Amino acid sequence: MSSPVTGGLAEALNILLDKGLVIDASVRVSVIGIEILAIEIKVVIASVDTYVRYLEAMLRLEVARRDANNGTTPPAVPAGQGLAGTYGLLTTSVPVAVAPSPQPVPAMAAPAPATGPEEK
Amino acid sequence: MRLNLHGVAWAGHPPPHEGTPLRLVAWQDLAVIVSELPSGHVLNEQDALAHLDMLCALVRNGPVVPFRFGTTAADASDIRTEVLAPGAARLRGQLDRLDGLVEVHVYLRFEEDAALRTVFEEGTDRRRFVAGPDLGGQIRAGEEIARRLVTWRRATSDALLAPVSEVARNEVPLAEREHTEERRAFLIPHSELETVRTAVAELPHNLGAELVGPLPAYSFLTESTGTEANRHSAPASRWGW
Repeated sequence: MSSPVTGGLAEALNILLDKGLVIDASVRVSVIGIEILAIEIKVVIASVDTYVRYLEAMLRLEVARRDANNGTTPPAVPAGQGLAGTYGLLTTSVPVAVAPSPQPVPAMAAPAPATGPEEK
Repeated sequence: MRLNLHGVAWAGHPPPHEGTPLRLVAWQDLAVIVSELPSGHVLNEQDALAHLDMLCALVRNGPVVPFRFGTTAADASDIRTEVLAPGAARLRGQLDRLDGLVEVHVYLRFEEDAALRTVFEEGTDRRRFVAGPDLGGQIRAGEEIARRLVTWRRATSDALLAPVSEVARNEVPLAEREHTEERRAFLIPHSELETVRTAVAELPHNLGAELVGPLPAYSFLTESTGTEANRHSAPASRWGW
């Protein structure tokens, strides 16, 4: 560790830019320039898109779990749909051709099914 | 021409290497590390990186209390009368407390699919992962998944970073960018840098673990033991660390 990693230093800068000693009662010593910097302070922006991605992943996992319990094989994920191979928008039902199932697979927008630990 | 203030160090701090724009403005046993700021120059990202890079180099030779980037003074006499003299006891307290210590950051990036799978498999009430019929329901379910992701990430990181925590004097979480990204600051003895480097290098490669340091102890500035009535300077942080 002879020197900081440059890329990491830039990331550290985003975190540390507004930290440090401040002399706040002096007109002769002051902080300038912060407001004119266009450096992004990166924090989590919990967007709906992020939540949609999580929910779609959970839906895929739930479908896979039910298929595994039923001894069926999940269908191939259609290319180009959703993020990371997800099925699409939450209001869209999971493809019904997944497999014959004693329980209909609900759409994400449907009332929540009971999926407790006993169903693992 | 104003002076750009970078940090406070002991007056005996080894001088910056030749060729750097830095110099020390000393008062008694204290000094402020400064560089000249040309008139009309607007600070930019390169200046910020250079400021941090210089501090990283300086902290290898002794404690440095960093100024917030962009702190300037009209001249050296202002530094002595407005910074060092009124804040001397507090600054000495900070420098004593940070003697031999440096800050390092560790960033871990968990694979989102694997993390979500773990959260799903460990979920004892998966109905909360299912969205309601409206946007509010989707947001509530998404927030619940995010909350469990963060809980899992922190617990996993605690275990993975235990070797670093063992040698650290203190540690704090840093502002996160993603639910699957752990970012922590550790205050460690300078002599333990190699131990920490080795510990991070031995983490699973798929984490993309990154170690940044040594840094000035930005995340560990606290109220010191100064006794002046006029406590006009204070370490500051938007996040309260």
